[in-house]
Formats: sequence, C-alpha cells, structure tokens
Amino acid sequence: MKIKLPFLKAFIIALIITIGFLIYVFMNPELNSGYAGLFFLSISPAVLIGIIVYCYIIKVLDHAGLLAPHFIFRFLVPFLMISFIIWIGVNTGTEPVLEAFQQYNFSEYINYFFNFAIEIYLPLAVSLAAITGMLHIGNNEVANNDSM
Amino acid sequence: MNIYQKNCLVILSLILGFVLSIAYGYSFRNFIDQPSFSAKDLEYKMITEGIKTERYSISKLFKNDYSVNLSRPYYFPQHKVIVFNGYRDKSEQSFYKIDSQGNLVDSITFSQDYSTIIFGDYILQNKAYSSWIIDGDTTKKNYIEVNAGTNWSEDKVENEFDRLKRSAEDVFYFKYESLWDYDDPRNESKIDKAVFLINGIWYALYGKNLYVDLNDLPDHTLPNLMPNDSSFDQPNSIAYVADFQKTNRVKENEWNGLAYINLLYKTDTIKIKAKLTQNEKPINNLGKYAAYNMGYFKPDGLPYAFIVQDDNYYIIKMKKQL
Repeated sequence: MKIKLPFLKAFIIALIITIGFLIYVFMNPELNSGYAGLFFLSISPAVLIGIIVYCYIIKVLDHAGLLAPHFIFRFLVPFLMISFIIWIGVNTGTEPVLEAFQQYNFSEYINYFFNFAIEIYLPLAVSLAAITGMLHIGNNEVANNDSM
Repeated sequence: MNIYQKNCLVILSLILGFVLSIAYGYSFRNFIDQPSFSAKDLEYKMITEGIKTERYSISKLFKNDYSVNLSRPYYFPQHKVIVFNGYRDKSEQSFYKIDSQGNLVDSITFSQDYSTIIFGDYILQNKAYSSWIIDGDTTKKNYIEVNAGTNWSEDKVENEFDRLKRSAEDVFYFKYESLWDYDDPRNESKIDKAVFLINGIWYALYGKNLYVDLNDLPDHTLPNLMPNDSSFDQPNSIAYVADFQKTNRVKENEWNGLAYINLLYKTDTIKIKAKLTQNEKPINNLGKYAAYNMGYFKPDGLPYAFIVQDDNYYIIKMKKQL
C-alpha cells in the first residue's frame, strides 16, 4: 500500500535516526577525537532535515509508481543508487579512495574496497533500512483505519 | 514491464556498475606501465647489501651500530685522518678516528659537555682540551691559566690579550653564559675565557668582554657532494639518477620507487640502487628526486670516500691494483 507521510511521522523518524547517528559517532573512538565530535554535532541539524527530505522523496517516488511497494525495493533501490554515486564521487579526482597505480594484487585490491564498504556503506545501509522500516509502520495503521 | 521488474533491473544494473568500476580500476588504473627493470636490478645493487668488485668495495663503515647521530666527517689532511663526532646517548659524546686506509682505529668518549667543539686540530671544552686528534692522547689536558684569580684590571687583561694573540697560532673563546653556573658571581660579572694555542699548548685568559672574531673558523668538515637540485636528474661528473622504477604513486606526478644512481668515484662508475621519491613536475630549481637523506664525502688525498644513506655511513675503498 502507498506510504502515508504526515509531517510528524517524518520528523520522529528523522529524530530517531539523528540521535542514533550521534550515539554512533560518540561511541566510536576514531570519530569523536578532538574537534571531530563538535563537527558531527554541528551537522546534526542538517542530518535531521536531510532525513525528513529523504522520507518525502521516497513518498513521492512511491506515489509516482517508480518504486515498487515492498520493503526490499524501497530500501535497496535508493541505497544502491546513493552508494554508487558516493563510490563514483570518492574515486574521481586527484586523491581517490582506492588509490591508483599502487600495483596491488587482486586480494589486496578487493580488500580495500570491502574496508571502505564496511566503514561507509554499512552504517548507511543500517540507517536507510531503519528509515524504510519506520516508514512502513504508519501505513498499516492507516490501512486498518481506512478499512474500518 | 511491471514495476517490480523495472526495479529489479535498476538494482542489477547498479550492482553491475560497482563490479565494472572495480574491474576497470584493477585492470587499467592499478598497474604501472613501465619497461622491465630486471637487467638493471642485477647491475645496480642496494648499498645496504655491500658491493664488491675487483676495483673497489663498499661496506658499512661502523660494523656495530655507532651510526646513530653522526656528524659530517672532519678531515685533517696533515695527519691523514678523518674524525667523526657522534652521540650514542645523551650523556656522552664520542669521537671516532679513521686512518689513511679507511679503518676505524681509535675512539674517545667524553661525558656530555655542550661546549665541546673541534677547533683546528684540537678538541676544546671550556674546562679542558684534548690533543687526541693529533697524537691519540686520551687524557684531557688543562689550560694553562694565565690569570687564575680573576682580579686583574681591565687594562692588564687587554695588554695580556694582545700579547698572547700575537704569539698564538690559533685563538678561540668561550662566552660567560656557557662558562659559569647560573649563580656564580663570575657569570654576573660577565667574565669570558679566551684560549690561545702557543707551541702546542693552550693558554687561557679570563676577562670581561673578550672578543675573538670567529667568522673565519678553520673548518675541517667535508662538504656533501651529493647534488640536491635538478643537476641530480641529468648526467654530471659526481652522481646522478640514470633511471627510476616506479613502485607506487603517492599523489599526482609523485611516485615512490627505486632510483638507479651512477656515482662517479675516481675512474669508476659505481652503480647503486636506492629508494627515492620522484616528482615528475618539480617547481623552480628543485630536482625530480628528493635525496636529502643521501650524502657523499670525498677527502682529497685519501684512497676512500663515504656515502651516507639514512644516517648510515658506508665507505668506498679502492682495492690495491696488483
């Protein structure tokens, strides 16, 4: 069924994810050293707003018939799209994440990719899965109300 | 095509995009395209392994690990010796003597005294001196103090200063700040100490505001002949990089790798391999290769020379031609 998205629902989802994000940052010694902690704190309003916007984008895609109405598709399609854009973005330019011309052998090369994936894509996947899951919660209630 | 199929197509094509980009990166942007260096790898040797040919040999200068914190070599042509100044740990200062054949023949250790300096052919400290460089005498000698009690008038000090200076072969001085303890009254009165070398003995004179022109100090240190500018990239008469094998990239136009260096010593071309970084587009007069950790010292009149790499000294000795 189609996603119903009152603003309060989007806001609560964004709040939960942003708090989760801050907890993740401050529990991780690599990310909270020095001024990094302050940096992440200062961008958390932007994260909040970004998640609200993301929820609305998913709703629009869902209503326009571009996203299939199932959890897997609502999660995987945006996740892979964002991941791919990030991958292309960090690998072009003068300092690619996967350094050029290092003469790595195959297993080293793949290893570097997986290290990047675990560091960046795993938190992203968890967040997007949570958002998609939470987007589903309201829908069933709405559907039940509709049928009453 | 229904929406599920369209979505599956998007998912599969994105996964394919990942796989293709990884394959592209591995095949086309991972390996460095350069000619084979296997022939050069045999011809050129790493200095750390030592090199032996019929005409010369290169080996570590100090068999044990003296090489930490060594100074540049000091060359004394009349005595045909080379002296190194080294710090093994902070409490001691050592000097090492290399004879005219390139062998480590002697060493002497002083407890740490920041006034220690090699001046002319002597080692001077503010309380004593040593003639070890000239005659191998390991005892510390005291200065003959012309005015041990510092109660001469300034005029008398000045006259004595001029008299000694006229008959001295060499003059040096220690300033009051490094001479006396902080609470010594002589520190407050700014008493300097001038020392004069007369007939192989050093005399000391104390006085206020003594001044010796130290601008033309005799300097026995050998200059580092390793070129550190763009002449290192082109053939020259001392040392240059003949070729470079890239190992991996540091950033755009900068590569880590092995440099194949031709070092010209007397009539031989010594072929050395060393790990260096190459900058393909250097700015101003900088060379392509940053060889700050390499040095080459050649004493004229002795049958050997020194190469330093990463603070380790190696000696190039000519073999006797039979």
